[in-house]
Amino acid sequence: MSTQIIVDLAAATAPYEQIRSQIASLINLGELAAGSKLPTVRALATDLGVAAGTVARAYKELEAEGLISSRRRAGTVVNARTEPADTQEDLVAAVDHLWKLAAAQQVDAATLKALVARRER
Amino acid sequence: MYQPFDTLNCMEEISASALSIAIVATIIYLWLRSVAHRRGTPALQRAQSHSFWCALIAFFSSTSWDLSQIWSTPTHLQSTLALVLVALGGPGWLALVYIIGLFTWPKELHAVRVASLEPRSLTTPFPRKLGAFVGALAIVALCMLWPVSRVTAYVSETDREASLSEDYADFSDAGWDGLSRWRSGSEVAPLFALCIFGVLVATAAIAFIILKRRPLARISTEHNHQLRTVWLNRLLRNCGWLLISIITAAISYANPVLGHGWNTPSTFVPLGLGLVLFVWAPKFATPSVGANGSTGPFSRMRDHTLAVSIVSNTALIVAAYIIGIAASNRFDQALLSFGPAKAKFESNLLVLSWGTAAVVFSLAISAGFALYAHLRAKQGTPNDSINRSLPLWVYVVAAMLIISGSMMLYFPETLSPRVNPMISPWIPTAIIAGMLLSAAGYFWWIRRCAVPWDVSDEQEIWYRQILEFRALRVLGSAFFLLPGVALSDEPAMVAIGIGLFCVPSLLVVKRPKVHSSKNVPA
Repeated sequence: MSTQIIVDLAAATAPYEQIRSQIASLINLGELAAGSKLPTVRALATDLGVAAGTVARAYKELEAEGLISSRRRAGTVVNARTEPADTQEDLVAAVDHLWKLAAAQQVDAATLKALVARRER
Repeated sequence: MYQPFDTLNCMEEISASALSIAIVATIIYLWLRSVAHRRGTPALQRAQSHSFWCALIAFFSSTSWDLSQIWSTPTHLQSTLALVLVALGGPGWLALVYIIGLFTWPKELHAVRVASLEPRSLTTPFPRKLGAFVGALAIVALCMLWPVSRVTAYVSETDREASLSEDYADFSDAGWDGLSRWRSGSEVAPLFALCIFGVLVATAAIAFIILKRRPLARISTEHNHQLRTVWLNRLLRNCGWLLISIITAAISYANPVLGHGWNTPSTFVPLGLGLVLFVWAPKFATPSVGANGSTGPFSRMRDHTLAVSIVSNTALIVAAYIIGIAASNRFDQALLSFGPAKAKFESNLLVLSWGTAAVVFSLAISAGFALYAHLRAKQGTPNDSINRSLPLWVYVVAAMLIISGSMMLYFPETLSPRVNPMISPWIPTAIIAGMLLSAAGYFWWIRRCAVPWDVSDEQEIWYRQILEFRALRVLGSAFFLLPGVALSDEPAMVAIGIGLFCVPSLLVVKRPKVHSSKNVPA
């Protein structure tokens, strides 16, 4: 499985926040399992073409939320989740249903994301 | 001991070398940059093409390395620094070309950037078996330092006698007394160690940079991973070739210690190992870089032409190697019996006749592949052959090359006044007639054979044109290489011949507009 994050420098959301929110989502959805290693700050910053401080800030906030922890030898690893995974099954099923509905109505992913983002405001 | 350190001489050598390196590096930079930033080409294709050219240039620049300079002692002064520069020539070029490749890497950034959250492993893309093979070669190269260190300073008795004869003046450089002197092992062994160390350090440093490099935007994580593997594979194979050349040079130098029993293995084992490295391409379980998953008829046709090219070119390269060894042996045998003039004549004749046979053999291999395809087509329902000639200027250039080569075969003294080949005019006539008739027969066949693939007219024309152009390329190259190597040992002619052999067919034959699958070439 390839877990990827996307950073849009032209978006209104700050790059560090984009990194933080996507990693947090991946952890909450179980895409990033507990104990799995994240790339180093420098490596991820190089890959994304952003400053190391941007990634460092995202990691720091994730650490403050208790989602990840940085250890001197092991690097940055995903923490075990406090809530069981099956509590989100309904949500995943709802998203699946939404995805099917969007496909049936020929609504693309970008439009769907925009609709979800509108809810955040 | 080394010659006294001549500061002025040394500075001249360094400035001349630096200027040539700067010019070549600029040309390489411009070429790789143009390949990597070609407009209208998808990012993956550009990255693939850039990787291929980088590896190809690194191979040719690093392996064109005359290690015998570190032990032979010509009359002009040769400083310690110059010897060190010679010893570091191969690894230096390897590092330089790959560094230029890293600077020209198509890494354009966009507002939307993607990165994988999987930690980048330094070991996953590393080809372990190939690494172990190259490691074993490095150990063998290091082991060769022991016999090298035991060689004493040497002056060839054969050369001492031969230098007294009148004919030998024809084969000696101006200012050289004809004596073959070798430095002692205690002086040469550190230089060999420096060569090995340089190759290993350059390879390790470049491998580390490749593993740590930023992935290319706009292509998938899998393709980025594959690109890294392909780069590492080619780098390690290049490193392996350099180590083989060091081992071969060490065996050649340490011949007085090792004995003549090593001559045959030292000729054929490196050839075999080199071939093993040549075909050691990376294998991918998932669709490889450049592949789009489809295997259409045009894709199969392209694979066929690629196979023809690899087999016939490999046959030519192996034949050139064998001819070189055979000519050298013939020269040595005839030198003792008949003297240098007759020996040179015998070796020239061998190079010319065997070289012509190799060219004809190469065309026959290509025609054989076409025959196989033709027979496959006959089992189905073949269409009438559709063909079109290459652009007129290609034939004009080919004719000029052939006429120039023919003139050099008939009048080799025009290349170098010192040449006195004593070759009858019937021999060039037979060579020219043999090659032209073979080529004419080949062109006739290629334009008429059936193709078994269900391709469009444009694609079928491309197939025939590409084969025709490659044959013309080999022919033009042979017309310069044969007189250049056999009759005058003229480096410029040899360089032109090799250059012609390497002219990409893409420059002449435009590829039909079809999306096709293609694996990374070995």
